[in-house]
Amino acid sequence: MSLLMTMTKWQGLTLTSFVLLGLVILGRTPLRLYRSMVMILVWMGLFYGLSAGWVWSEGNTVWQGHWSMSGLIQAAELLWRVVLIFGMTRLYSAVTRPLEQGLGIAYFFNPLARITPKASDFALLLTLTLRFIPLIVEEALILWKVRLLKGEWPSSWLKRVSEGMQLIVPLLLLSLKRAEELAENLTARGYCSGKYRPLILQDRSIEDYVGVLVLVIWGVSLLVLG
Amino acid sequence: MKARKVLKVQNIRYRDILNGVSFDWHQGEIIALLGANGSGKSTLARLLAGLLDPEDGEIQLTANGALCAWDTVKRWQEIGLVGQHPRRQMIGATVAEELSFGLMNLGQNPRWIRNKVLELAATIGLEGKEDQSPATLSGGERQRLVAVAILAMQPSFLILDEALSMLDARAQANILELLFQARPETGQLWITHDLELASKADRLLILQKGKIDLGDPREAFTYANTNTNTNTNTNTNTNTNTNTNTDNQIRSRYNTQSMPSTTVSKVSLDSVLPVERQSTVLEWNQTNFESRLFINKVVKAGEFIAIVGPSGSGKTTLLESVVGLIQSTEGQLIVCGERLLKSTIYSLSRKARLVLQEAGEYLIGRSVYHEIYYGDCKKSLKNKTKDRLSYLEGFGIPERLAEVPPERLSGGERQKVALAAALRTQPEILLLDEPLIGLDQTSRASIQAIISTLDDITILYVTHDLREVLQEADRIWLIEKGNVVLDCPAQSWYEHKEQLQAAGVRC
Repeated sequence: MSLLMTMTKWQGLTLTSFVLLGLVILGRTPLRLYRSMVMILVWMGLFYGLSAGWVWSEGNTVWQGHWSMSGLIQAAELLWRVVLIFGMTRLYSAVTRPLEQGLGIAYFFNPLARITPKASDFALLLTLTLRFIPLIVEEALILWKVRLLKGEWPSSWLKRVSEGMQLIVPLLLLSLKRAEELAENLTARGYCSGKYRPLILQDRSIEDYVGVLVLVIWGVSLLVLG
Repeated sequence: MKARKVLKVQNIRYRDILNGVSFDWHQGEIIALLGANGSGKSTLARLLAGLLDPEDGEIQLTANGALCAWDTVKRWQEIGLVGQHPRRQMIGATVAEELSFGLMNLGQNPRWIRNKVLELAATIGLEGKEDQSPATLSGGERQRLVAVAILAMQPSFLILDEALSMLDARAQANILELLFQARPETGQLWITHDLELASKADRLLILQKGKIDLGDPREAFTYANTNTNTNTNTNTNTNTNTNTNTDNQIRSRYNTQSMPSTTVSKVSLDSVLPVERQSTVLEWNQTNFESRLFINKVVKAGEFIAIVGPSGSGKTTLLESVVGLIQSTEGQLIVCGERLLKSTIYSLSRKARLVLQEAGEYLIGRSVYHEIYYGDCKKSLKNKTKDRLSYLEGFGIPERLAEVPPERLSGGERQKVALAAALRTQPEILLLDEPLIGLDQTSRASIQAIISTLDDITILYVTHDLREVLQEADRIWLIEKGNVVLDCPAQSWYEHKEQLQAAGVRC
């Protein structure tokens, strides 16, 4: 993705387009997943086309300009890159659950723990966030229910803000309580800084090795093609 | 031969909660710890687990009589702690991570851990779910997961701080099986309010006024036998009376706090008009709630319906449907003669009040008084009239507690506040979702006393324990997999005892 952001030539974009197409086919994701991108891309295309393609004339003229061919080509390349980035992101989020994304990131942080225990702590932080955010959301929903059960939600914005503020304090108290419980649970299970290692149950298969190989070839090709 | 360990608790003091607690706890021994809410049971558990340090006294670990210094042994490895709420104890993002977390910290080989995790998941019926988030599991599954994750670390001692109280009988039996399997190598401390569960332990400890009273294990088994005999009795009233007698027996034997005589005066809800019995207040017509619950039932005014069933069967959904927290996807629900629609939710929700599960944990008022009179204008809140304060006292909440923040109250007091707040608007229907959960015998008795005075209100009462409501209930609904599979008069519950027990209902 980082390489894609720095690409400037059409050869690299073409190669990446084929890779994306291949991944979409291999991932067997339905095309309707990408439908939501169309409107955004139309608007972005118009924006890039109108802004990047427009050339102002030099000198002291107050208002004189035109759309140049090179400017429009540049806008098209920019849009092409955005399409690829959006497409790959969409594909990634469609086939990888947030849980797996977090564990994946934690897994790749693992080797860094040899350099500093903070890398391991950061990996644990990611895992805990995945657990803690839904817990807090759950608590917030209960508080919300409690409030709704107490009577009508006001129609005036001012009163709504005031009611909302009143819920923040109990939510904050509950969050602190839950955070304290979490810290105690970590201690009770023997956690100390730098010790966390995520557990990946699956064995590496031949598909994984092929995937890594394709990724390496793709990356090197992008570097060469620019 | 493996060393037998003993945990020696010697004259522990902590603030004004524990005032010289001493006892020995042997590996392989199961101790039940009883005591009122706020008596310091959880504090003692945290002190034992090393999460708190005692202000005075010592906790020593001996192996075959030789003292083990805490700087040479890992305390978290020796003493495991399982709390009441499994969802708050989860650390791992997946079931596998949850099971492996402690093992990783023990420095085990990752490949061994991987195999062990698969084996553990299989033993608790979670095979194939290793990559799932624990949030997707049922309450019983989550509690089993936490218990096994801690047992996998092979602690010499395990503390269960009301870890079994939120579970239905079936889920509780599953965990008990695991615990009894681990018994030879693990000393266990069961902190509980459930006397029936306590009777299964080897020894009873009663925590009272910051001190421990030691119980005789033979007495515990006597209680268990009496209780079993009582359960075979077919007469509901006799059954309840005998249970009360055995409760009293055990209390007098162990000098626990006696069940208070009903100190609550009849709750004054004067402006509620006397209900016309036999008029329909709730009617579900072939109503479907997002496939979680399908119901076709009628409730008459003034009826007391006990709703029982296993965890996740749709009991809470049923209560939430009445106050419009969940909308029907098919059919209709009629509340007090009016169809419940988005436009009528607020007007109808005044007629029905829901007390959520663990309502005492979720009080949003600044003070007790503010919680009960939440929503009143500032001027009205400032004006603490005699009537308003006596309303609080009607629920056993003394006037001095009116300005106290709810979080400073005991569990029983908080639950009373939640109930008082719900009844303040004089609803026609009261919906109670396990209102006695996590409460000691004293608090339970006073809440039950309040509920028993509410003759003119239609009550829907969700519980796992039918014994809580047998005296008051008119009808029993058993809900399983989102359907009311049994609707019978409360008097004839014994005819359906097997069906109820099979569904995990305690009766």
